Amino acid sequence: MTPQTVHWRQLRHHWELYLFFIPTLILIVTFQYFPAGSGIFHSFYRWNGSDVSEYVGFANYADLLQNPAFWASFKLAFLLGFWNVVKMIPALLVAVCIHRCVSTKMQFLYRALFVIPMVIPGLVIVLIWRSFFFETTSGYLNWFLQGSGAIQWLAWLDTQFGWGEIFVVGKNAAWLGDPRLIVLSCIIWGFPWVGSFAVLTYLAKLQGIGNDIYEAAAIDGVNWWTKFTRIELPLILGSIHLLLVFVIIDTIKDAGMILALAGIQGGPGGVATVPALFMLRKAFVEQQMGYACAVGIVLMLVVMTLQKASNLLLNWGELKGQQRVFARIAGLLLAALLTWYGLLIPWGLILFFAILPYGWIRDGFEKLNLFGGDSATEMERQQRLAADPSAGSKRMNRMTEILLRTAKHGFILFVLAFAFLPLGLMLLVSLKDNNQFYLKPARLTFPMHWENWSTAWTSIAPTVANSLFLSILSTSLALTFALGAAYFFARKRMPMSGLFWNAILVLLMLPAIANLVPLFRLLRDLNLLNTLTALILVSTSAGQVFAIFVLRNFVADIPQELFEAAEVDGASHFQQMRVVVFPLVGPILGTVGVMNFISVWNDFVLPLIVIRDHIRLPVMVELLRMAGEYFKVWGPLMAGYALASIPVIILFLFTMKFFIRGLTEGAVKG
Amino acid sequence: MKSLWQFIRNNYAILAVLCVFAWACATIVRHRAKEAPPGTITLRVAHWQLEPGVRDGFRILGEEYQKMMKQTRDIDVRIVQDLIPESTYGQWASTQLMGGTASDIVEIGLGLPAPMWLAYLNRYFMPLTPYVMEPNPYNKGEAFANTAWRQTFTDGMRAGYREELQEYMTVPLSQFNMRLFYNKDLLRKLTGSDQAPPDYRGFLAACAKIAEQKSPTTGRAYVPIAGSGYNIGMWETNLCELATYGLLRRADFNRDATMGNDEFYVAIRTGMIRFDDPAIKTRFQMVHELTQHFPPGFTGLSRDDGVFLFTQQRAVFMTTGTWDAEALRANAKGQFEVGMMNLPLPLSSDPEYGRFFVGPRYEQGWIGIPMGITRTCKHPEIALDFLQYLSSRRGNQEFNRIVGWVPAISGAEPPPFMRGFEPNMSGIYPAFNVNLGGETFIKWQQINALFQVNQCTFEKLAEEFVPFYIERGKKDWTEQQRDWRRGLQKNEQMLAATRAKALDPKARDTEVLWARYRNLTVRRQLWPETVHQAQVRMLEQGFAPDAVGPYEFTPAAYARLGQEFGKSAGVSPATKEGAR
Repeated sequence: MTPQTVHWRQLRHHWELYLFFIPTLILIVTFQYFPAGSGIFHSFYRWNGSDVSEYVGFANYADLLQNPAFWASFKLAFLLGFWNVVKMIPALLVAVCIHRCVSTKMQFLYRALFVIPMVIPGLVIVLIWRSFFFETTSGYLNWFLQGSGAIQWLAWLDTQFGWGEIFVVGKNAAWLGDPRLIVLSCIIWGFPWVGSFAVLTYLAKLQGIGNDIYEAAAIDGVNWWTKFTRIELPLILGSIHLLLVFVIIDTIKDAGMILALAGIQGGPGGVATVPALFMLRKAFVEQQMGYACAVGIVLMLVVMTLQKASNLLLNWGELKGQQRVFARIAGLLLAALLTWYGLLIPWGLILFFAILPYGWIRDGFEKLNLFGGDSATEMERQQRLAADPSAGSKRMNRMTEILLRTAKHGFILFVLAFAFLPLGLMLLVSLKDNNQFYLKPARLTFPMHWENWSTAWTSIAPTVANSLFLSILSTSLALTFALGAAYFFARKRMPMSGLFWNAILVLLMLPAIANLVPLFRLLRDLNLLNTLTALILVSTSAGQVFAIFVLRNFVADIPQELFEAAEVDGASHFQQMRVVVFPLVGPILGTVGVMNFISVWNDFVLPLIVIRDHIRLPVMVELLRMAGEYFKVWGPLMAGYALASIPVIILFLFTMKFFIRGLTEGAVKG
Repeated sequence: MKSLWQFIRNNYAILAVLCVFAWACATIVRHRAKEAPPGTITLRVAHWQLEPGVRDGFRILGEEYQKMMKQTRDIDVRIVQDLIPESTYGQWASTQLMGGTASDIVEIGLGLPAPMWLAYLNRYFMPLTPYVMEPNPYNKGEAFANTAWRQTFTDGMRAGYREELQEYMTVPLSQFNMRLFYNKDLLRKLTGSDQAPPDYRGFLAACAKIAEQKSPTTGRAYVPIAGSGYNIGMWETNLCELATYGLLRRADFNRDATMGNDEFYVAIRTGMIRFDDPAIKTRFQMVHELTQHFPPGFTGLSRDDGVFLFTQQRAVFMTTGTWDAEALRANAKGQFEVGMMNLPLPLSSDPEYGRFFVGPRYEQGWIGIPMGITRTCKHPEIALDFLQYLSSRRGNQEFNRIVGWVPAISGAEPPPFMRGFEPNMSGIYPAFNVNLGGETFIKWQQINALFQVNQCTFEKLAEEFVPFYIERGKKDWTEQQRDWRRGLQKNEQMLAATRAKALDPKARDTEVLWARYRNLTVRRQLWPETVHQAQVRMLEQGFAPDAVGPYEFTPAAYARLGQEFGKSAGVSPATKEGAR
């Protein structure tokens, strides 16, 4: 539905629509744009965040661009981004395998089982990997390598490729202590990498494929691989593209997990320094706030460029000839720049060789799609299917089918086992005292110390309460404001609404961490430091941006007749919202709400900086602090991790149905 | 009833969320009310001492203090601890101090470069100088009843005094030192003796012997020295860097007998000290030798992971501070006997290192848990009073008894196990100080971590670090000097007040006041400025190739001395080289 345009002269009849947008406007201006503006301003100053402020022009930028450490951090970010893309594959395969289960009960069971390990907060997973898997002397990873004999293969490879004795038979690899292994550790943590959002998004998309298509394919004797490559993969390519963009951008703007894994120094030799970590170090270790602001601005520009480039590539087909030439020239210039700058040569070369034939590469992918996008006719689809050599009339025999089923369930169970491993360890250790843990860390020991759970609960209950309060309240506020704003954008095209919409789109790309320093200063000036109010306001402001982006399409899709009928009955905009919009957006509201809740629940970077008092801390920061104690008491610590995960698991189990429905109905329109 | 049930069934998710929200609100309100009842003065104490017992020490003493305040002064005080782990302490302190939300009493010194803490002390903390000359009221009726507060500390409160600011800024509560702990039973089993070799070469030989043997139960080789990145720093500063003591003669420009980071920078930049000086090379060579006996990838281990091997009886030695002694003993209880000794210094007869080592480390500065009062503290008088309570003879003895540490106050008895852990008051300081703050600090940490794990040779380290240090260090040095100069304004205020007092016709002891005025003018304003200007000159003009350090004599001077006394052999340049 195209919203009706309201001109300035008609404004007096519709002015009340602005009321729906005002709370959003106030929040984004205060907590997003003001810090961003302040960041830009301070990036031209030698500023320590306190009493030293001296105008230095572009000196911070000049220094930054000449700083090899900064470029090295980008190199790492691109590398991690590449691996994060590779890490999307298991989630995709799991989603396809679950989707292929014939029994709906099995589908439900697998989905429910996957949800539990998937929604354990990332920080908890990182801390478990750090303590149990990467630990040099008795970590499980080394134990596995030595026990399985895999170390011999690695040692052989080490000798062949001259890695410099990273892997030696009989010697434990120092995962987090060796500068040559720290990046690998940053890549492999979290194996088998089945993130909840990705799996559920793929599942939702796959559910959109009608049974008739599979039946038709089965009649034509299409084998399992062709089903995947010609039916399923092309349909979820949109979601893959979208997740890919999120993944790459997140890698550049996020520092949380690296911070938890390698510390603020970025591990030995600072090898694991990503750009956001570089910025945090400048701000809060070196106290060069102005410089950190400049880093934030550069980060923002890079993220925006990447976002723009990805949009360009995704919509390549819609570009005019001249625009394509321009895009190619820009790409070549960027490739030349990256290649010229020594540290980023491989990325420059990849870009160089990909930019010219991009159209052909993309066309090849397009042809894969049996459905040929929206424009293809049924006849064309049939022709494509018939032309596919692998989709011959070979019917699978019974044996192959049994083998495939076994492989499918085997793969799911294999991934499930690995996904449950951290959870299992967490529960196992939560019942041990320190002596039991030291002697038999991975086995069940008796007596079991159930009192660890009550000890942990006493310790973290206030922080769990804080997190619940914070997450529920900010999610409710974000949804309320976002729905109002979505109504504002979707209902009529008001004067300046285009400007506001673009302002919101820009915020989607703005890395929150880039604004951290000015935001901290703003909160200080507002006397909001060390208050939950600060966290609620900031997370509401950030959460509503994505929510508006999603909800606007839903409100716009509501038939215009419903609004007109309500208007004829004399309903005001508020009444139309209550009677027409609210009942129809329930599932998507649930989906966005769950995503926002989890995001607020898992956040620890801002609370770590803003909150001082223990009784105000959210649970994630408390876990980070518990993990930092000397002579850890492992049992209560692990029980604490488990307790911090339970609310999210319960939330997901209760709302999974809504969540999937929301996604299926297009929450993430790819 | 049916409709209610229907309503619940239809809205169970929302009702569940509302119930959870109500529980969260109730919990928050209950905990806040418990922490700060109305009319109560809340005093927050922030520290990173998460070792077993320290929390109890502050809690028990805090409760005693609360009770005493209520009974004697009818004031409701509540002592609350902000416990911050070591890994995030620097960042926490930075943000809280800058944000004006820091705790009332904050422990100083961890997680940030020393110059940064100095700047913070200057900016965010209250000087304690006016109070340290008065007796501590909580020593009333005891031997120190009329003694100045600072004199009651075993080190005369030197650890709380900041030369750069010329102020007493912190109150230390315990004293520490570094010792080598070892598993006596395991050492006996692996080397045949339960006495650890006291000298460096003997110690290395014992380590080599230990590393050759495997555990019969696990089949894994024993690790000679347990530890993490946290522990290796102790070996560096307390053993290896003592080799550089002689360099002090070349670059102690302000003649305070210690190597400041600014002095070290100026010396390296101007070439007064070369990074490939034999003494500095020795420092790195020893670190290299020692780290061969650490567990693989030890720099990636956390502090408690480092202890893990020791408590599992898979490692024999471990170096840590006496702050960990109680915890180590507790973990070893019933399993093995913990021994303790000084770090093994090279003997003077050692052909390679002997000439660089003239004694053990001087440990007076190791009086720790330095607590400062922030300027944002709403009740500084109560904060000061609490610190005086903690540092009274009885209070300090009690606190350290609970914690298991050595008291910082003279006459306070240490716990039985800690007797004999008193600091070594006769020794030397290291003269290796690259910690200039800012980018050079980060670079140093990164490159030194590579060296520690054998991923970088000394030559490569020097090649990569020194040019960076020389070039980028100028910025960090300038920043540090700027921070120091900002403190001069404060000094002017104090000088003006002292002069006003001295000029007051009714004032008594005007001579004392004028002496103090002159002393302050010289020590706070003139001398530091002179040193600063000298350093600026050195940086701008450099040194002549034959220049010598502040305590050294030029060859010409030696020649003159030789002529004068007629016995040039006794003071030859060779002797001078030896002294270095």
